[in-house]
Amino acid sequence: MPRSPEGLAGVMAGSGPTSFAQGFRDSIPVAVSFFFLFLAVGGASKVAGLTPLQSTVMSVVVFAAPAQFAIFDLMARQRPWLDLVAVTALINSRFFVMAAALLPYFRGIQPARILLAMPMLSASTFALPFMRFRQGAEARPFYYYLGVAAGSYPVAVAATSLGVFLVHGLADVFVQALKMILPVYFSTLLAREWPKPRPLVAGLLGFALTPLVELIAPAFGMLATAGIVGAAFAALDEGRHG
Amino acid sequence: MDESLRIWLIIAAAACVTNLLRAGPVLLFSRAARTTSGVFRFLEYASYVIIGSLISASAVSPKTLRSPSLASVADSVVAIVVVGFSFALATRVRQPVVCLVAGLSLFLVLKLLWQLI
Repeated sequence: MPRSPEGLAGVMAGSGPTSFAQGFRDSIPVAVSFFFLFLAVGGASKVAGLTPLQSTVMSVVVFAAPAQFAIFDLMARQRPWLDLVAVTALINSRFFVMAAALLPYFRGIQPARILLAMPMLSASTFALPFMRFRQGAEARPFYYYLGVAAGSYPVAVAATSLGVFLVHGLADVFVQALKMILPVYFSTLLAREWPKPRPLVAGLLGFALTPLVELIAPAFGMLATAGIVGAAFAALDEGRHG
Repeated sequence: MDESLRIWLIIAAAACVTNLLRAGPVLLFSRAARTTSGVFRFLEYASYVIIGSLISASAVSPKTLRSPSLASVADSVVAIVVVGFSFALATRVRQPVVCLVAGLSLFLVLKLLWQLI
């Protein structure tokens, strides 16, 4: 099966709803993890002093749990708003790379429609479609992405609202197990590249190097590692293909 | 400034910054020439690195590296073992939900064993 966006099959009649439905089904594990993750976001927002409406709106318009947690932490420490904005930009800078990586697969879709769909981009709504597109398994990528987003984004928003009212309550080991849903799920997605060495080595380097780079350059770890390793592998590929 | 107004302004600013980052490639590249193969390769590999980084960020706490304790190191070791097991299983069993259930089950078993020690 072709892997690059140029190699993807052409439009197949009537496959938009099918792709959407497939994306929606595939998003179920993401929706489950988002439910518990954003329950925690809701609880943390209440502790930070947000009203239920503010908490819910924040998940609607930001939809980035790590950045939301960071904002709550900085608000509790009475940091200036500029600090909050700067940290948000740093933590969410990965969205730029993710959107750029997905964009070639959305060729043929009007930019305005893509822009409307981008607020639902997150780590999970990126990783799941991207890995499927890389397998060449999707003829209507944009609709698949919409399906994944539609299955998980509303759950995140609803869970935030619920979490405001459920600050305490879940047993600690249960909460820890739920936090493992995303890393386990992402590792199974990465395993789809087996036995191709370069994607797996790139993923392994991201896993191993990001925490170390974070020690040296806090908040830049993911982006710096992705930039350096991505450029190195792209240069290796360029050298190999001439 | 009223605290509620301050919170709304923070939410609005965070939303603008975050969604500009998401929209950036669409605004910058959608009318540009077809992405060159070099740029595409870079984005492709950078994306794999990001997926690895996301796994790391979820499985290993930053506190473990900055100020390790027995408990935090044990948590990280358990998480790494579970992620490695799930990855290995997924190379054989191409069923994400099966791997997810198996991985989480292993996590609970290891956590309970650790608490018994």
